[in-house]
Amino acid sequence: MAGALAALAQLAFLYYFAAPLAESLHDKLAVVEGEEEYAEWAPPLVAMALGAAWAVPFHYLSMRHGVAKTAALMFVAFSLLPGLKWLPTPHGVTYVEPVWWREAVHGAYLLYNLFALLLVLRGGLAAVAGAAALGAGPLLFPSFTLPDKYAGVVPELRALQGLSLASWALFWSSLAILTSIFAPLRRLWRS
Amino acid sequence: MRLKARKLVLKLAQKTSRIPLKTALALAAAGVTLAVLLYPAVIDAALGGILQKIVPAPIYNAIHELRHLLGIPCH
Repeated sequence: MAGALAALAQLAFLYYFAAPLAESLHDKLAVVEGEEEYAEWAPPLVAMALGAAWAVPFHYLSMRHGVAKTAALMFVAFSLLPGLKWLPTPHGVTYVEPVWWREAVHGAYLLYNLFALLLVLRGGLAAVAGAAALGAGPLLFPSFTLPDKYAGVVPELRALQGLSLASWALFWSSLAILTSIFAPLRRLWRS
Repeated sequence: MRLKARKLVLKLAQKTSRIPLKTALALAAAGVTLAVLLYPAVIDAALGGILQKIVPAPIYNAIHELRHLLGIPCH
């Protein structure tokens, strides 16, 4: 519930700030392709489902570790580090690697971060190891390469990256705020 | 050897039975949702292209666009 609401806030942010930029880049870069149809109603629903899905592990972790701490750590593990590792691209911009490979690498990276995060949350020596693993993660996983013709728009891509990271910060913080409104007894921080 | 395996299974059952059914179901549902929305191409490839047949193109395109905005690397 809180996750779905937080996702709506995130989507509104993205529609307002990031969508126009992505759209202009799409027009500039897209290889000529046939008219594509978009179901306008789908993104809000899908974003809500995704937000609710993220909120489930958040719910269980925050009961044990506190709302603010869980939100901060999940933002770092699942949004900040993957976002910095790989550029988000507007529609029409292609990476060189096949899609399934990128998704597999991205998925393996998120799983790796999940285990590192669980280590961090255990505290003590395990937390040190977990933090080291989180830090080493971006070095361990392969990068994706953009074709040369996109070299000119890297600043715009960086801007999109910043916007998507900001939207994730908004998502996790509004999830934390909504959780503490709906579950006022839950601690903010537990060490 | 078999005894050892049985002991292991018992131990695992004890450990998992401590997790309430509701928690397990919620986590499983969240995991499936995340997997389908974050990794459609992997799932599609694993299932032999079944996802592309089920999901209509406009919806697929819209989800694709959303994933771009969220900063998930795809095509």
